[in-house]
This record gives sequence, C-alpha cells and structure tokens, in this order.
Amino acid sequence: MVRIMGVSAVLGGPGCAEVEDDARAAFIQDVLVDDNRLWLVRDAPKVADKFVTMADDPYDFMRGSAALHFADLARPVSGRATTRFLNYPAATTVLIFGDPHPENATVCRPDPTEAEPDPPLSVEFVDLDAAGYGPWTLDLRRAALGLAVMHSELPDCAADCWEDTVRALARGYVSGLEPSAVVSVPRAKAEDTEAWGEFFVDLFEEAIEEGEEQKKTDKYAPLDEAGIDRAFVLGEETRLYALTPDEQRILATLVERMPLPTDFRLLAATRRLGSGVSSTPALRYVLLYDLGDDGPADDALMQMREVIDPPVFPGRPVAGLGAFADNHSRVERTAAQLWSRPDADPLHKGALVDGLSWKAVSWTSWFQDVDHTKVAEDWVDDKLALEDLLRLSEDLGRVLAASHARAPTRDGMTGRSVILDDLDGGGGALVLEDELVAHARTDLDQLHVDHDLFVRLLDSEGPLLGAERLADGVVP
Amino acid sequence: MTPSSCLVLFTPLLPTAMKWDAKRQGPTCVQVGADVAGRFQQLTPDLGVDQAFSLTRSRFEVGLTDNGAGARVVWGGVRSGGQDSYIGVAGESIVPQLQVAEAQYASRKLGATLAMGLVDDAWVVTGNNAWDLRAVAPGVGEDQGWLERSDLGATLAWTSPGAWATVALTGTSGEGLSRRERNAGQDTSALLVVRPLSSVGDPELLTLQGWRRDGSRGLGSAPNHRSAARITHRSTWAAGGAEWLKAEGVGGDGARSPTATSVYAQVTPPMVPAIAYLRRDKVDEVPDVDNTDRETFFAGAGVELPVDHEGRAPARLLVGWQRTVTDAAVRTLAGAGAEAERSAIFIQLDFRGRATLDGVRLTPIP
Repeated sequence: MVRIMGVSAVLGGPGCAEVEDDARAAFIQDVLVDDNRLWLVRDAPKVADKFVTMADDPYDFMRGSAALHFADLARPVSGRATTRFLNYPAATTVLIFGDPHPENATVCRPDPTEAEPDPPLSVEFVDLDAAGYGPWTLDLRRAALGLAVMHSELPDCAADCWEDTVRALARGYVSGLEPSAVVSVPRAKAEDTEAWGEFFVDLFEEAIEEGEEQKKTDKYAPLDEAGIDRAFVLGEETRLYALTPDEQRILATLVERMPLPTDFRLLAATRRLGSGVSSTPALRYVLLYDLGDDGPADDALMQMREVIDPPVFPGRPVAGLGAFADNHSRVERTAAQLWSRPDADPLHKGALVDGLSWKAVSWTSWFQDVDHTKVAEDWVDDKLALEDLLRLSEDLGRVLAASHARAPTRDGMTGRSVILDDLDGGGGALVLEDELVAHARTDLDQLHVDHDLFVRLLDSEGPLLGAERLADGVVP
Repeated sequence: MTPSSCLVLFTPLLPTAMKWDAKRQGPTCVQVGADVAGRFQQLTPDLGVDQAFSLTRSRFEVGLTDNGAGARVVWGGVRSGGQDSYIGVAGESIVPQLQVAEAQYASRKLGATLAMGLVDDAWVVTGNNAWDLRAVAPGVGEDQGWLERSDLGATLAWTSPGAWATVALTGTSGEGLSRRERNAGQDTSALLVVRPLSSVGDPELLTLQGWRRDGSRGLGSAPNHRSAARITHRSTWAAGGAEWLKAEGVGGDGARSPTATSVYAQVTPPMVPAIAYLRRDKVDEVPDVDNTDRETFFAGAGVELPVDHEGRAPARLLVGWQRTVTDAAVRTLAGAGAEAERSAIFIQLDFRGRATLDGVRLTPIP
C-alpha cells in the first residue's frame, strides 16, 4: 500500500508528468534528509535554516546538494550522459576536492616569516570537507556545474555565454596540468599581472588592502575607544552569538589540542551561525586571538569548525578506499597535498574533541573568496564583461588541474601522469571540452528541475522536508 | 519438520505442517546458534585496499519456546559508519545490529505461526534456504540492495497438512532493518511455496515459490514493489535453484525498475567432505533498453570440517572467485571504462551451528 505524498498532492492530482515529478521529488527528499541525518538529530532548526538558504537561490541549492548530484550521477538508468574518460582504474583514485564550485576558490596568503617576509598570494580551493580519492573528472564536472549555475543566472548570459565559460574551464584545466602552470603571484605583482584575469586581480588587491588594515577583525571585533581591547559584536547582523557552557568546554579542549601558533593567546570566542551553505548546521566557533603583542597589531580571527563525512563519490570501481584515519586527518592531509603550499592557510589544522573532528582555519581579510552574488552585481554594473568571466573560469580550471596534478593518487602515482594518460586515452582536450559542456547542460537542467521540486517540497512537506515525521518504531 | 524438534530458530515464515490431532503446539526448549565467516580476499582492479581481511558473516541467534509460544532474537555484526564514513562507534568498530527480534506463536494444530516485531523478509529468508552459501554472497536481491534482511512488522504463515504448500502474509514498515519508519504507508507481501513432491519424498526436493510485495519507501512514499518467482531443489548431496526478481522502485528512487535472474547450484558429495558451488546473477537495470546489464559469476570449492564429521559438518574452508561485468550505460559514472569489470578471489572459513537445550523449564516473567 503506497501513499503518494509528493508534489502532486499540492498540484491537485497526478498526471503523467506529475507522477514523474513525484518519483523525483521522493528521491530528492530521501537523499537530502539522509545527507543531513546527523544534524537533524542534533539541531533540526539549523537544517531548516540551511534548506531555506538552498530554496532562495539555485546556486546555494547547488552548494547544499552535492550528495544529491552524486547520487543522481550514480543512478543506473538509461539516457545518462556518458564519459569517454576514466578508462584507467588509477584515474578514479585521484585526490580530488569533491566540491570545487567557484565560491570554494579563495585567495590565500601564508604568514610572513623572516625568510619570506612578503609571501606570494595564491588561489586555492580551501574547503576540503568533501575531499577524498575519486575520479578526476568528477571535480571538473562539479566545477562546471558551479560555473553554469552562476553564469546562467546572469542577465543576458544565455547558453552560448555560459557554455563558453565551461569551455574556458576545460581549457584552463588542460593548461593547469603543465608543471609550469601559474597558481600564485608575488605580492609586488599582484595588482598588475597578466597571468590572472581581472576578477582575481581585484581579489588580490582586496586581500592586500583589507588584510593590512585588518578589516574583518575590525568588523567583527572592533577596538574599544581606547584602541586597546577588542570585543565581538554579537547579534543578528554578525551572526555571532555567546557560547553556552558546554560550548565553552568544547572550545577549551579544542584550543588545548589544536596545533596552534607559538605564543597563541585566546582573547575571546563566539559561536557563528548561518555561515556557509552545506555546513550551515555544523558547530562553528570564531576565535579572537593574538600572538603575544599587547597592542592590536597582531590581533586576528580564526574559525574552528566541525568536519563530517564527505559525500560518496560515484565512479570508483572499488568501495571503501580506507585512506584516512578520521575526518580531521583527511582535511589536513589533503590540504598538504592539494594546495600549492601546505601553509597556504597557515592555521589549517585538525583535532578530535568529544568524538567530533574539527578543523581550524584563518578568518582574516587576507583570505578573499569568490562570491557569486558579487559576480552578479559586477556583471549588472558592467564591471565584469564576458571576457572576465572566461578568464575567471580559465583561472579556476588551471588551479584545479594544478592541484590534481601535484597530489599523489591513492596508490602513490603522480596525479599529473595519471590524468594526462587518461586524458589522452579518452580523446584529448577537445573531447574533454565537448564532454564537459554536454555534462554541464544535463546537470544544469536537472538542477533547475530539482530546485523547483525542492521548493515545492518545502511547501508541501514542511521545513525539514518531512523529516519531522520520522517515526522511531522502538518503544523503550 | 519433525514436530518434536526444537525449531524456534527456524523462520516462522515456513511453519511446520498442519496436524489437527497434535497433542502440543511444540516442545519447550532453548536454542542458540552462530554463523560466522572470516575471509581474506584479493580484489581486481588493485586499487587502494585491494588485499584485505573481512568478516563476511557474524550472526548470533537465540530463541526460546514453550508449547508454541516463543521469541527469537538475531544479531549480526555491521561496520559502524559504513564503507565511506569516518564517523562511527568507538572509531569505526564492528557493532552488533539487531536483525530479527520477534515474538511468535506457532500452532501445530493449525499449521500456523504468527510473529511480530522485527521480522524476516520473506524472499530473503527463503532465498537463504535455497542458496545455502549466504556467507559467500547474499542472494541477488539483497546483493543489489533491493531487499533487506528484515523489517518491523508482522508475519502470519500457514503450512498445509502434508506440507505441500505454505502461504505467508506479512505487513511491514517498508524501511528495512536499519531505517526508521518514514511514511504512514505499510508494505504488504504474500509468499506462496508449493512442494509438489511432498507426498512422495522430502518436501524440499522440489519447491515452486512466488512472492509479491506492494511497498513504499522513504518520506516521499516512493514505490517499492517487488515480484519474484523461484524454483528450488534440495537433496542429500545437491541443492540449487533459479529465480527471477523484478523491482519497481529501488531505495527511494521510484523511477528505477530493474530485473534480476539468478541461477545457482551446489554439490556436497556423500562420499567426501567437500563442497563446490556455481552461481550466475544477471541484473538488467533498464529492461526496455539493450546493453544495460550487470553480470556476476561466482564459483568456489572447499572442504567441510571436521572431515570425519557424521552428516553435514558445521565448518567449511572455501576458496572462491567472483567476477562482475557491467555494461557502460549502467556504471556509476556512465561510460567509465575503469568500472567495466571487477573480480575477487578469496579464502574463507565459516562455521554454522546450533545448540539445543531440551527439557528446560520456562516461566513467564511476572
């Protein structure tokens, strides 16, 4: 006996297309609820907040639904877009980011040292929560979908426009496999370089300008009138909130266990809510710290955030590669291997507290993210032209490939040689370009369908997609 | 199906034959059982952990019964966190999972059993009886993730006089043994087992089985129906069968309607303590479209231990091989050549046995 409770209930009866919609809606509902199961048990209202964010914007839906994307790719149904690559088993165990969408790309700066007083700026995919060993094309496909969503939402950027940016991503990727691919820029040349497109040059400028003036620290923890002490601005605007006693205990243990810089002094700490999309419900603390100087010059912010399991990658001939000890080791090790230098974010470390994996990351204005809403604003204001989007896409492809190329595969082969062999075996760069565009079209169409169904599901099923109705079936 | 035997660990889906003049509904007894198998295997392609020890079976069961009223509880080991997770219990320990927990009442007079709780899936359990090597691989339905071992619900089963037929009806939550109920719809299923040779010999010499489940799964009540048919043979030295299974909806994905066939045979020659088996599964993920198949072959042989055991020995040392070939269209990334073929060779030691305590005195808990 089956009760159909999907979208047809709100549409007033199932026609043929609606029956298909119902099947798809049920699939979306199950995958997304399962993906958030850990957090549904612990903090369901935060999951509801995450779903609201995902409903408001197709790009944010894409960010919060990597598990759905991968589950969909893995469905053994007919009519799926096929790949001509991944013909060698080793090509399915490349170290990949898992979710390298454009907003995951960040301008980074290592800490200055005596030996390197002015370290270069680099662009890295900084969020490694989804990282692991998998097919190299999966990262490209996910990045292409990110670009397709971001650019197809722009006014007057129809298919021929955004598809060109996906082609640029593919071209950038192939060029990034060259050992000489540019992935960083000396600070002195950061504001005037031909090696990067205008979009990243602007981000380099912002990083230098705002980093030096401690803009983020001043915004979230401004100095008092005497110019000596800082205090967090708590409330709705900053989304910073006071710690509960239990959170204070966890934080104290975290500070004790996390490998922090010498002379680290914790000045204050808060809980941050509503940040990110996929990890919105994760525990996330913001710490104000210094390195021993009583003045405000060395004050800075960092975050400590819970890390959970990565999504399951499709396309691997064997399950369970058993590569890492735990989730914080996973993000630490992948950072060391995927980034252009392990200290691209000098605070990126991991620790285990209360059975949860945590990572520490810098949270200063030296780190500047790609922001899809800023891209849209600049496009509307004519500050960005198609040429800039093409360069942005090419730069992202190059950074992605350089990361894949430098990291060893699961079995210790060099990523570069494995990918080049597989690229060659699949037909080369032009085939990759065409295939990536074809996949992006399919994935974008599906994402729009899924987003519409998701919005309707929230209306018909409730803010937790119906997870409110989970019945235990066990009476203690 | 000897009426005086202690059968509390035997699935209530297949009750003993109706015997109206039976004096008692059943014996008073306690049974415990263990079914454990450890394996070392080499996988191809040789990626990652391509050589590994594994625990392919770890099942412990206990049951007690008094004059037809009883209970049965079965635990199996599962890796907490699963294959791709780092979040588990005390690391990723192997933890006991409740697989069956049912209260039951069997009426020998009526040939009927009623069980409620976490009850057997009718097609999985009858499949396990037919394919006797569950520690080598689960039946095709379970292997593909289309069926689960058990579910919260109830079973009512009846076996005719002379055991020529069994009918079992079940109502279950539809979410299987590892997920909470997610919708108000209940699964219903009906199993029919016919034993045409029961009047001339062992009823299990030949069975014809049919099963239908009308089900739903997940928060969206996605269709989760199954239809299946099976023919089996079991004699002293050989067993085998052929089965067909059709799914309408898989794992909350109502758009999938794959079918599967499985053919299997095993030989346990009476003169030597040995066993050999063969099996072929063919899964057609999209029956309306060509070249959407996945085929798996199993083969193996071994020795039964101890070699001087009378009758079937409780332990087996097996060497086995299996190979799966998947068409390009239905690989987890369509077209990926690396997924075309995978195989494994393994050596496995397994033990299956039950102990019965007769003459015990059971008292209800006040």
